[in-house]
Amino acid sequence: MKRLTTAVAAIALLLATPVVAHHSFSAEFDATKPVTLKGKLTKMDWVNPHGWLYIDVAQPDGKVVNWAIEAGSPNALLRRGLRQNDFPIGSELIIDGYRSKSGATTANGTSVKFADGRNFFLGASDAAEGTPK
Amino acid sequence: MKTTAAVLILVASAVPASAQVPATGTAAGCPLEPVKFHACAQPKMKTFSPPRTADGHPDLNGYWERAFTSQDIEEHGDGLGVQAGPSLVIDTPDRRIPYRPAALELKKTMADRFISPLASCFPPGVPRHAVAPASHQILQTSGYVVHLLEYSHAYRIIPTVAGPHAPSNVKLWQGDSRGRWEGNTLVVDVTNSNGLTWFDNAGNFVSDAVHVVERFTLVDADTIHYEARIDDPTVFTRPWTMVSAFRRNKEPGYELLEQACYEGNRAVEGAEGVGLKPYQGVTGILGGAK
Repeated sequence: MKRLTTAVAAIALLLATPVVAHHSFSAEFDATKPVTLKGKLTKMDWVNPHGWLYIDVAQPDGKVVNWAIEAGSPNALLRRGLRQNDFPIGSELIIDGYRSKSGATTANGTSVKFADGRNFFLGASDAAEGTPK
Repeated sequence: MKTTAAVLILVASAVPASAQVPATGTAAGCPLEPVKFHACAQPKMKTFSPPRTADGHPDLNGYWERAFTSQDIEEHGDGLGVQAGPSLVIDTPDRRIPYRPAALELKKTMADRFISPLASCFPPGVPRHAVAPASHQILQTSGYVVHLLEYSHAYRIIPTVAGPHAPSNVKLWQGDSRGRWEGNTLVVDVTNSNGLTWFDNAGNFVSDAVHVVERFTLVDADTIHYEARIDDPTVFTRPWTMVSAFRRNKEPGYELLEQACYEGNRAVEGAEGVGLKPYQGVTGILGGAK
């Protein structure tokens, strides 16, 4: 129970934490177009300056479309305790984010939820990275 | 168990992030809001006796975290990818950057027309270096202060012995820095900038005529007061000053990590996909602004 409480508290905090990145999201992504994507992880690029998750999403017509989701910087993810192998290929994911203004199947991710219930804040929060300890 | 551990780590990292909403934080017993921080820090800077290096100068060595991000150095609210924050400008009546009219018109659409130079992994330039992403490290040796930034492996090597600036025809992303010690303050004179850098992601900009004078002063053992005076008659009606702070990162074993910025950079591709262009500075655009 305590574990569940902690997890819920963590998720609440994570969702409340603003995303801050090295480039202007508002120029590229549309704050009025939030999107929730559900699908299988096909690739995780653990790369600078931002990691990328790729998932196959089944559309209502049955066609499967591969989406690219921008995540935090590898160093920010690393300092949050995440590792590349926390994202095994084939994982069922539910990702929240904002769609690209270009109409491409690209989004800026804010959070990712695994089938086992794990939730991760995806954003490139350089504020979190830059917190004095 | 692993899940719990991961969640706890996330809690640990998320709580300070929330606590670090810039306008409400403190350092050295001073509120971080720049005007208040500046006023509060002045008497402390005069009386604080800083630790010193072997050659007798204030010891700035260590890992440091910026008090403010470089999303927008003017006052702004929450937005997509942007955390609300106060203006870092301390000495204009409205706390706005004193743009000339033509420059102000340009600024209004800058971030919607051009790719933020930092998104292309270019060095941040000065003064953005002081508020640019990720951790900072200062290394001092006799005759030099080196300011490392994790992002894009950007660095500044600041000589603290007398010497001339580079010839005026040399234009540099990070500018040419010449430092000197004035009492307990490291004063850095920066010229030779290439005019291709912004202050932030909001498109606040300078030209290659910019002259910056920075002042780094320890307020207490774990806080640096940072001040940059900006003079660029091509872009601004008057010189103006921005203030930020660095807070010491005391995490045991902390280190800067590799950040090979360009390796997977799709931000440029994405920005071009919505019609943004590479930024090429204001030379020729603001020619009539003087």
